[in-house]
Amino acid sequence: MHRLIVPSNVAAQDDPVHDALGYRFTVRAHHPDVRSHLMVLFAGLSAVGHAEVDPLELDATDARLSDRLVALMRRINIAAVGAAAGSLLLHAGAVARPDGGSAILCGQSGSGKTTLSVRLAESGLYYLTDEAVSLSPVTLRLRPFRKPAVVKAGAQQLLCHLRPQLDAAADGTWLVPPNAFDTTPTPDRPLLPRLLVFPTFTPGAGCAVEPLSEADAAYLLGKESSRLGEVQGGALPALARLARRAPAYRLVHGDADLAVRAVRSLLAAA
Amino acid sequence: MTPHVRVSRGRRFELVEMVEMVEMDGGYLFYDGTDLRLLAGQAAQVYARVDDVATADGIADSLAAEFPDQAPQVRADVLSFLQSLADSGLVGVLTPLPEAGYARAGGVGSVRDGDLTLLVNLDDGQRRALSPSGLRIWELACERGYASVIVAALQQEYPDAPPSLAAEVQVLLDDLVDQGFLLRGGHEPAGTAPSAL
Repeated sequence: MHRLIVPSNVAAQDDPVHDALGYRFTVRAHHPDVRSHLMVLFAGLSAVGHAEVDPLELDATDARLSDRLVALMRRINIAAVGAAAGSLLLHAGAVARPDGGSAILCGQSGSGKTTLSVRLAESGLYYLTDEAVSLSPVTLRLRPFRKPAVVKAGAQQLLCHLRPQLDAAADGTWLVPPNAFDTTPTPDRPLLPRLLVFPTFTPGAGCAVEPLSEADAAYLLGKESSRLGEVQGGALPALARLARRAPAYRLVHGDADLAVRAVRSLLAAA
Repeated sequence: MTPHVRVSRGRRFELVEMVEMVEMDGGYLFYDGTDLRLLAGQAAQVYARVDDVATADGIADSLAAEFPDQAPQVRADVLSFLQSLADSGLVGVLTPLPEAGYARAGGVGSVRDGDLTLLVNLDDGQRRALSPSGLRIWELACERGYASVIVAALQQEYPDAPPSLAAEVQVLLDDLVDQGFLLRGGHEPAGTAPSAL
């Protein structure tokens, strides 16, 4: 069999259930090594209960396992975004302090979100996600999406110590489980935004931080949002609420260590 | 009239309710269900002056007055930007207000005194001194002129007139009406007022 299939809506009792922003799924694999690998990859997405679970299956095919896993992750991301419709969905990474105060790192692909999210987690902050931040449009509470970090080729030199056992996918991507870089206990308080950072990675640049107006922040958040038209209560009120709640900064960096230090400093002061 | 502005100088603009808008520190954010737009800085200052009443010229004049050294360029930029706001649907364009005409009040005489001209209301003794420019405005108003026509004539006679000319003309006309030297009379739609010259 050479496909990723989705059979009827019945999960086996022993398949762990995962939750990705409200999309609940299990992944079945027949090979025990693959099953173990899946458990490690998705350990950050554990869920309770078995209602409305989408059973996915990862069959053995000629394709590389890493390629099949990347395809699986892409499918889960899409389903997660769909399940979170109505929330304020940002193309962003996020980390949190022990008190739940969170920094949202918002930017386009290549801006350094994943590298910053992972390095900040390694420095002692709680990893929330590296790609998709979901917030309640009213309370602004963040919903964690502790998916495997998707480390692209450009970031692998900085994160070489996290190289997975599996070979990289055909596009050079690594999937790195959260427990490889985050050992911080889960915050016991609600996760609320306290800092907005819009990073841009520029090779050779040091680290420059520039405060942004609320209007600029709301605009940049909106430009990096998914399904803006479906936000409950309206897109603009939610964006305005978030921009007024947390101070915002543009961060131009070419050095991850300096960038991590800057974000930690800003979050500590927020 | 600025050539690149399709609308008349008296054209007013209104805020469009179909577009979702929020005012924030630093500007205005718009969302029409598809596109997100931000007006910040000077663009926000222009938008902030759109209030169903202010004309394109009035908005341009008020902002140009803040930058006297660059007034003509600021004025042109503001008029152009207002047009782009209208083109993009962020503001609507209202038909011009009807414009009141002016006429000399009865019982008003004038006496020349050097550079000044003294208006005298023979009925109540009210007096008002006019400078040479004020006298010219008075003369144009007495010929049953309209404010827009008066301003147009003055801009032709004085190409270096300040950006605030329209506003200053209106202030003097209002004063002369209040003091009984002028009557404010019948209405014509702006843009159709007969030439006073």
